[in-house]
Amino acid sequence: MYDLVRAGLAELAAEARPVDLFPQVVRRTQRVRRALAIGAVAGAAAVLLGVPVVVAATGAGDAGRSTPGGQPSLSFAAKTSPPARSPSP
Amino acid sequence: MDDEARRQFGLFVADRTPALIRVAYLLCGDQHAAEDLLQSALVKTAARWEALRQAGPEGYIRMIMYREQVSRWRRSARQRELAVEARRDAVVADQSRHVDLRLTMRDHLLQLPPAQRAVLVLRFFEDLTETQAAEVLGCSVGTVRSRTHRAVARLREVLAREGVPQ
Repeated sequence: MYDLVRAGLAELAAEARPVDLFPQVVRRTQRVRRALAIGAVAGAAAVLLGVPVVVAATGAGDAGRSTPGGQPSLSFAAKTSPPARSPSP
Repeated sequence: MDDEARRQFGLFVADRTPALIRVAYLLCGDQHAAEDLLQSALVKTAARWEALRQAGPEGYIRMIMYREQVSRWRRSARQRELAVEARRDAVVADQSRHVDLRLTMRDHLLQLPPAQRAVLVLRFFEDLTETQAAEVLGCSVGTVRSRTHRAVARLREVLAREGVPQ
């Protein structure tokens, strides 16, 4: 049985036609390298542009949390009456 | 890749492609698919040529081809089922021409699932041991053994049905 399998495989393998793949391999390798280079540049650009945007957004967020008109929060506290101290039940 | 490395890679490809395309053909059963599979493996080898050329790139190429073919087949499993069904229908439809339609071992091998065919190619065409075959496929020796057993049993069954002496 194993001899039959070997013979069948040899018969099948003999059908393969010789081919020169080197030019296509070189072209595909160059395409892959170009794609990787473009991806690396795009990634670096995203980081370089994205970091300042995130920092600016974070900084603007902190500033926005202050009271309107830029007054310190103490003035708001001064307008309200201090909470009365009630004895605990 | 510098010029010298490229030259060596070119020499390697020219020298080993005839043997490698035969293996790829056994795995794919089709010339175009075999060229595509081998080309894909060679591109991956080119990317690692500096590291591989001393260690022996051929083993790496074979490993890529075997593993990639099995995984490609798994991804297109449904298309394979349709192809096998169509072939089976064609045989059943014209059974009167028994001699013409009698499938040879070659055809039976092509009808095996690629994972089973891969182990037969490794064991009986490339004459690797079970351990070596397991390394190439990235599976256990037990898996190689069971796939070989199933593949051979399947071939025995179809040959017995056709009355082919074994």
